[in-house]
Amino acid sequence: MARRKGWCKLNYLLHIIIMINIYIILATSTNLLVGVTNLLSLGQAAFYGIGAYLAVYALMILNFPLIPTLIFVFLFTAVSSLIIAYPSLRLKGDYFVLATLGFQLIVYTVLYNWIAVTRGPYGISGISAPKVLATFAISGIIPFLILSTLLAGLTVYFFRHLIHSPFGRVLKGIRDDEISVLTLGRDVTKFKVWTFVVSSGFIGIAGFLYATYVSYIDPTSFNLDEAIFILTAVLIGGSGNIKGPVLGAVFVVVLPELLRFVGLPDSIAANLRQIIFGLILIILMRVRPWGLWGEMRIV
Amino acid sequence: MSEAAKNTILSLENISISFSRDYKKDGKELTESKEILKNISLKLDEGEIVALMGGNGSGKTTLFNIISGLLEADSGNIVFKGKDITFWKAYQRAKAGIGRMFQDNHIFPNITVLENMFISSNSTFGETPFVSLFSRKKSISTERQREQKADEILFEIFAGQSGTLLEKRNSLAGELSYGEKRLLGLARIFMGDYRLVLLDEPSAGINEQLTNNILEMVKKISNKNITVFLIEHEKTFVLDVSDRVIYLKNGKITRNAAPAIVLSEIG
Repeated sequence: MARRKGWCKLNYLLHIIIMINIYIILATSTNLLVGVTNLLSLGQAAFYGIGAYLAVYALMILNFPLIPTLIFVFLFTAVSSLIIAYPSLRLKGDYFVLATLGFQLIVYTVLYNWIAVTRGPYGISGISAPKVLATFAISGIIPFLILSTLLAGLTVYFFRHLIHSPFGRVLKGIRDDEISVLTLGRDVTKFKVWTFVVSSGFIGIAGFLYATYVSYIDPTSFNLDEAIFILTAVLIGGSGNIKGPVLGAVFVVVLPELLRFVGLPDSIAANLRQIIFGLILIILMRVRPWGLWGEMRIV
Repeated sequence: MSEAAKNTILSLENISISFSRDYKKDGKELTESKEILKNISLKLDEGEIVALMGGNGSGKTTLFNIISGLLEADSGNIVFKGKDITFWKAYQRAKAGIGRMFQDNHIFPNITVLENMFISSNSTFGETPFVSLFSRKKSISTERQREQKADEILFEIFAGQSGTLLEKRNSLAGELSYGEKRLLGLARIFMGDYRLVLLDEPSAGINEQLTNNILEMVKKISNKNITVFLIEHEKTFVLDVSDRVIYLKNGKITRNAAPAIVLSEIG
């Protein structure tokens, strides 16, 4: 009995680590847009959802194994981002934010109402586990822990490299002074489109992980609340570097779990979680606008 | 001063622009239009230093914005190095060889002095997401070349002086003093491969020492056979450095002659 309890606790801990890994991918990808390039997007959950549904399509309809599924999800989520990238990147500031919000709402509505394909509010259950070399199925918590850690690690490595590369330097230039970048001979729109495409591709990978790990998806996992939650991870952890979003991902996953142990009544626990996140954001924006571990900026 | 004028590098033909604003008066919606530049035509030659003078609101910065592609003229043509660039975008014009230094320090405050120099380089290798990841060797060697060039430029400009940008190469550009930011803005010009440089009040708001630095830098730019078109109010600066002065009044060119003549006329 005691051994079973211990196993349950370990499973719970591993589950949290897997969720942290998923949110690390979401937050570091979003950081490229929000923190490095200063493009505040409210459409990230849409790409998360697109990635998840594409993963289902690749695994259950096309019967792809793991690596082709990852490539398929990455490429098609990245390409889907062009639908919003081209028209919205001509907009600036608040108008851009509103365009991404519009995209988020459209994708959610399509996922919710296109029942023939997405099964709408009923969701898709029994999502098959991805297979390696068509034989070994990645199911169970330990294989998922390894897979998610590997993918989160690769994402962090990639974005860390990208932020410090000449490409990242131009993005920081765009964040600081877009006009100046233009007059230095760089096509700002091209850089922004690349940012959108790369960020969305990785968010699609997070969608793949979520869909295959939970083995059930429905549109409510990819709604505006989720988009704000992803953004919250970046803002709380801090943006502009790689440490901030990683810390933010840990924070937004672990804090609600810690609150479970406070013994709050179920009826108010979820609402209280929102209130606490809201309060933390207000306080942070007041005393530490660059987040807990983000890059401090000179305005 | 630079050598005698050579080939025409930039030619403006009948450039006009007006700004309009909508407003309400007595419940009626009205539009007010103001012509900022009226049929501006001018030519700049290779290696020339030309000062653009005029009172506040005469259209000097607007003209610079039109040449660099940040504003589109209502009418007229712009020919640069023999090509009609009237409908080219700002970044295409910069790539073609038109550099710009702004009046209000458009430097990047949250990256270092050196990175500010790198971003201004005409070499763009590694500026796509996957290139620097998969071509690491070439990426690293390109970065070294950029660093070497930036160091050479900073050393050449500030040779023999202490506390210069060379010593602050790894400081955030936003932490520099106002004058240092202006110098950085000008130093960035040397990183690019420009044939025409537009300088908007390079000596504004800085002390004598830094003004002399800028003066020397402008001469160095011109010595490389690069055309310099500068907006400047400081008469001694204009007299010292320019080959020609163009004077704008109410959006029209009223004088276009040697500095001594124009400056004596405008008093």
